[in-house]
Amino acid sequence: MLLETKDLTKGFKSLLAVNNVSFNLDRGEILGVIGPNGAGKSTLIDLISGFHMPTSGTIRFKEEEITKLKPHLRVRKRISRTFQITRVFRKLSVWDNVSVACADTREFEQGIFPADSDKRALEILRLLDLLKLKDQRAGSLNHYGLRKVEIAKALATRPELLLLDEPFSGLILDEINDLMGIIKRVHQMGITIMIIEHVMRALMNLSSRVIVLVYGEKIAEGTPTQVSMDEKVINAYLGKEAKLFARG
Amino acid sequence: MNVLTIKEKWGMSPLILLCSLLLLIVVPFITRDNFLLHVIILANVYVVLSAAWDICSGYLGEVNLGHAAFFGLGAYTVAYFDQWFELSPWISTLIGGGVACVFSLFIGFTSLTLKRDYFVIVTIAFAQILWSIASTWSSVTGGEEGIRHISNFSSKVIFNYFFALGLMVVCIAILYAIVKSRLGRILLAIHEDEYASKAAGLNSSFYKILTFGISSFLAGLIGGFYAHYLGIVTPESLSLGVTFNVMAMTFVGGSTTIFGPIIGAYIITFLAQYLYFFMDYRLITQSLALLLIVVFFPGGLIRLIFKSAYR
Repeated sequence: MLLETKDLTKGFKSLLAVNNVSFNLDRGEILGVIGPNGAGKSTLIDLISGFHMPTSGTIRFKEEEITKLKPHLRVRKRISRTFQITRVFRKLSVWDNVSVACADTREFEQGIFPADSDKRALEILRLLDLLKLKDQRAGSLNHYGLRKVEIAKALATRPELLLLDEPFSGLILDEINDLMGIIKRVHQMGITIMIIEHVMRALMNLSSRVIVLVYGEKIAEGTPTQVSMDEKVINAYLGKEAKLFARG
Repeated sequence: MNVLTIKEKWGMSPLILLCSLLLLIVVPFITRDNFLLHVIILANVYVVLSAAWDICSGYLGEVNLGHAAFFGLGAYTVAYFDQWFELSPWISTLIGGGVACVFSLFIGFTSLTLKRDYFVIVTIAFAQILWSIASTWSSVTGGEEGIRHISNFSSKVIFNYFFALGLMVVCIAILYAIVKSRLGRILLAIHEDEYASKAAGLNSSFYKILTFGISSFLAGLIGGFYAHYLGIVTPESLSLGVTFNVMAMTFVGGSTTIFGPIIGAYIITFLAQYLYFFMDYRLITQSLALLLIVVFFPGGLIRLIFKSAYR
């Protein structure tokens, strides 16, 4: 088992953003997390990547407890994330965005830059079709470009688990299809992926398993088809769209 | 914004730099004006000080309002070591840098891990504390009189001139190598979005403390040279005035460039030294000039010479 969360709870003052969520993630899976706005999906990613500390509960990664580890140390354990609102270094070039993330700080602290980092950065840019844009200032890219740089940055840290926070939001259909192809290729490289998403179709197509969050609680778990036919899920969130899927 | 090729990015700058350096090397052979040489030495001291400030406050974005503290720490350390142990000036100058660095690491550990505002407050407080100690605890620090009769590297002006020039070139080369390396990109990334830099696996606190340490080491080093050169240290070297001078030089020349502070330091030092008859109005004119430059050339004068703003 790659990732295991147990009774994960995060409260902000009076609000419970994530409430007693337990789930497992096996190596090689693509796990989808769906839920309406404010269901605690992004908070869940924040907890797993260390940007928030849980109020209670534990997170184990590769059989090791990481509940209290700082974000950059989790990256060294090979958990990487993207942000829903892209946090690209806009003043740096696309290449520098990736190469900065390639710097393995642990090796750097011993005085050595990872020798393969340039090669790695090239491979990632090629995978994401960013090679032509590599000398451009990241700030000059369009929305999809920024999204791809965001993913490239995450990949540059050599993750075993990649957490994608609404990667499809704000994209047009062609871009969604393109990005789905990219995510599949990343998955084929042996990276386990957890996607939070609003765009249902993309998620149903990609993920092998889905969990549904509503008001911070996990209300359903299963294959995309199972979940989309689950009565509780339909009532709480999916509505008509899911019925269409169940039929189609 | 278009992609810049190397030539567009750099243009004539290596040539201009080389010519200026040659000019500075030739100056002592074509003039016997010791005051001019003295002003250039002072300017070189300020170049190192401003460029060191630039890497911490320009590249990393951690505004250090206590830069004078590390300059003064270097100077006072040198003064003490010179009086008590009669060490060679070479070694004591290095120790001056080391002491400044140790203090900066301590401050960095306590305040750089916090949000940006705290660092500003802590550095300014640190500098003011040192300044009050130096100016009031007369039995130890010599009070306002400072410490006198510090031995020189050499009594020859020309030696000091070339030593200062060499020191400046070496320090600028070190800083430039840092900002052009991947480390420089990392500093800019942390400056722009620390949250995202953590997500990219960077230990931002480590890089901040490292940069602050380097910046302060160079400030202490040049402070040590300054003490040996003038033969005296006074609380003046720890004052807020030094820090504000350094900031003015960096902004006039262009911050986040390393080379900008060279231009700024030379212009302001020359104006301050040659407009001494203007002394009463110096602060007014200097502030006015700074204001105009910030308003009309927000990137600093360097961006007038080297057209595209490089980083």
